[in-house]
Amino acid sequence: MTWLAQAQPLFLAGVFGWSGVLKTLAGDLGGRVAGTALHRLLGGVVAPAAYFLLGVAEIALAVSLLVDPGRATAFAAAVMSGGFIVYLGYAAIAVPRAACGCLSKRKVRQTWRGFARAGLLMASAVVAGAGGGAGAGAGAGGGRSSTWWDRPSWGAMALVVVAEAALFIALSAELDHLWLYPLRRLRVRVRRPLAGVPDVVPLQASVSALLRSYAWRRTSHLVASDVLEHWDADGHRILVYNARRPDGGRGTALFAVPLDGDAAAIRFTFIDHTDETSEQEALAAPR
Amino acid sequence: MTTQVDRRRFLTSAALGGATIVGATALGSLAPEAAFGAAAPGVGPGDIDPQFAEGRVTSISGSLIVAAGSDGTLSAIQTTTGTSVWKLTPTSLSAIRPGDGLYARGVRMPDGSLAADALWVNIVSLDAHVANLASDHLDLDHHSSKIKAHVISGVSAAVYNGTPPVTDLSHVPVGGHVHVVGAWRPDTSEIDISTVYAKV
Amino acid sequence: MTAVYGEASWFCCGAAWGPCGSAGGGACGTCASSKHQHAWPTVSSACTGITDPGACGVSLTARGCGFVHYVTNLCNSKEVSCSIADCGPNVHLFCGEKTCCGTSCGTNRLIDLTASAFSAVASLSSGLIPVKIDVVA
Repeated sequence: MTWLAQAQPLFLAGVFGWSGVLKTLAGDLGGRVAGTALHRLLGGVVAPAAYFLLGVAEIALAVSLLVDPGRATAFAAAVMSGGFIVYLGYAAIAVPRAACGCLSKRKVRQTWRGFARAGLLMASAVVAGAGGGAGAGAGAGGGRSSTWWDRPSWGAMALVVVAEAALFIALSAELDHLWLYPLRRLRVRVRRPLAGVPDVVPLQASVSALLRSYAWRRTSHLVASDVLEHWDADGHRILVYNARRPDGGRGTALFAVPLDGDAAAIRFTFIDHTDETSEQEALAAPR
Repeated sequence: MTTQVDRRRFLTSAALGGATIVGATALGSLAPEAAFGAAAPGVGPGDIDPQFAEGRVTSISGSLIVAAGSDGTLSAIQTTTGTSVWKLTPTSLSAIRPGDGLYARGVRMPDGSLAADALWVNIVSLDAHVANLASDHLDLDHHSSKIKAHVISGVSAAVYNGTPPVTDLSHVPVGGHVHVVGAWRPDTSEIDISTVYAKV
Repeated sequence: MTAVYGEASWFCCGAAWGPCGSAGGGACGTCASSKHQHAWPTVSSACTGITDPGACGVSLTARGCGFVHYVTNLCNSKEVSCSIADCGPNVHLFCGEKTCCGTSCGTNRLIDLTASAFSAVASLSSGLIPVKIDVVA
């Protein structure tokens, strides 16, 4: 299983290298850090600098893993991964709604997936450090594990790296837009949930047509409430509102909104409550 | 029931016989111009609005609602037959329950109570990321919290790209961002959708 | 600043009930649903980094906590004055979104009002309204 240990530095170098490049070269440090737990921990001035330096450290570690894989670099990777786990723990407790800011500018909620991802890196570093001893690079006092270029089993190593990379991507909420959401959109296209709805004009359509109409602009100053009640009659939706005259007198405002949404044909009626009979008619209803 | 039917017949007849407002249709004493100078004094920026109340309902006694505000104060909200009640749809006072959240707008009375013109019960307005579409609900992410947004047949509507609302929510984009107005189910992380605003 | 035209939504803040994303007083520490306040996308450089109005080609003047804007609902001409108390909305997530009343339109989500401020000019059951945002009444 030497190939298993040989593959880990490649996987780790890929992850840390990519993460480091994103942190150092993608720009807009302030924006990337804003809203993250790091920003909360270090403040708006120090956090961007710390973020950049962390990226530099990740790139350095990635290069070391590629050119000098061994127990020392594996240990450094384990420390880095352990540090991420501690950071995620701090974020979960202190700022549970903050984004990690680990891999991209996308601000996503931290869940068990973040911890599992950091755990994957830690496990990979442990395997990288534990492997070897029998490899060609092992020398006196060196403690070097088999390097990835030392009698490589390319096929097996490639398989391991690809599988670990796939697992890493699956555990990265920031990358869901690359695979999870397209899959869900495909599922929606195939299964069509929420289709087959009743063919009705929703109340919101009638209210929206009214609120955007000229009739509303001329009469809304009289309206004192939201929709009191509504019903359909003769191709119209009747909307009833409580109303006040400019002189303070009470009334009821009625709007007859065509169900076809023709805003120009909206009809308006004001029932004055100074007329006792009309007030009784307007208000005498079980509520 | 007969009273209700007669009343609706009366109002329908009045509504359909009403005037279309076109151009300089004379509204007489109802015209907006008649309202100038009669406006109530405004609320200063940053100030508490005395004509507004919010909180969770602690008790309902007849037409009086008592709500505990988020600042700890109790608000007495007086309702009338002219008070509109929104609880996902226009409804009546009898639909309100202790534990419901509410916002109220009306007129502050000398005794400190609010004579409510409008109540919005459990109403929420939030921006969210659409994580998934299921057969009867949307899974939303809102400020790093999961919200289950129920689709109510015949009630829930979607506005796509600013077009008129429709009841077909199947085009809400998975992975996209939407704005949702809905009714919170108290003490849960679930809402009933009134309207989803989406770009497609 | 010349007036800008955009969309307004409303949000909850402070120690509020329900799913409320801006609990604890918002970015300025003073936000409450019962006050005439609003969230502004450029209340700080950190906020601008999150809301990124530039991604929609929108340039908004940076304003600090307490700054007063006058917001007019284009559907009924009602106006409310409110002060900045939080960071938001996330402009870049809704680029190009448009709401109109007749020929008066607001494009891009530029401002979030508290429930009391929004209900002074529109019903809370209206999700988005086209508004004019100005620094004078």
